Amino acid sequence: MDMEDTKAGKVCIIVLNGRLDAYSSNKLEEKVNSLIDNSCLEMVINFDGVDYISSSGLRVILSAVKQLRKNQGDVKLACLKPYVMEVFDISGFTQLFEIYPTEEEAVNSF
Amino acid sequence: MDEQVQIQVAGKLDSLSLISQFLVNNLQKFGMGDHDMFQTQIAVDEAITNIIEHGELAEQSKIVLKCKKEGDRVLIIIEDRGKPFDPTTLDEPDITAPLDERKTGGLGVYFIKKYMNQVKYDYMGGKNIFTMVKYL
Repeated sequence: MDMEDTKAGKVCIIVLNGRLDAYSSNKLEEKVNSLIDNSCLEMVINFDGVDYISSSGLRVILSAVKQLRKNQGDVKLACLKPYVMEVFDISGFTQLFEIYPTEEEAVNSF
Repeated sequence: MDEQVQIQVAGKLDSLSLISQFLVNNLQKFGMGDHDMFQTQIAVDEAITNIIEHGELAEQSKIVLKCKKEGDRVLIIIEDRGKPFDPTTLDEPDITAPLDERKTGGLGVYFIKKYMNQVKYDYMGGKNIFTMVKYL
């Protein structure tokens, strides 16, 4: 799993590439927590390069959204591929998150 | 003709990508389609992650994954010598709960039950034996 983070104004963007299993989810959790520790309140996670996600990945994203919304921030998701979207769907996560077809739309939604 | 393959991995989270590669290579040979393969990978990943994170495996203890094609179905058998644990007895998470009440655990076993056609747990000879079935 590769991950890069960039900024668009106040919005922190994490671009993921690879498999999001329990091993790589620990790395994503470190990345998300370090951005939140550095005062990031508005976050977009771009899933364009993710073709696989397990419950560990969902757990990290759930924890991020709980932390950010508590401080009037949010995390929005972009570019979910069909199988990954199915995982979000059957977990009820599509009800909890704002999901956009493109990174640009997710960034502009803040 | 029935076929069986198996792999043995260390009880560490970085074994997960190795297992995934093993599954893709062999399930394709068994004639499984992409969507079923994605779902089977998740189920195996969740079962093995549970063993690694909660099974209290001894340092050198290995996890064995067997894939067997029997007619129009694939059996996945996972064996470990961690503490006895029957994943089929766990309660399902409430996937309709609002954000404040959403729990972070329980989703793994929920995926296993959702994505596989049958699951069975046995404890024999000091081993957890977890069997999952996916119809082709």
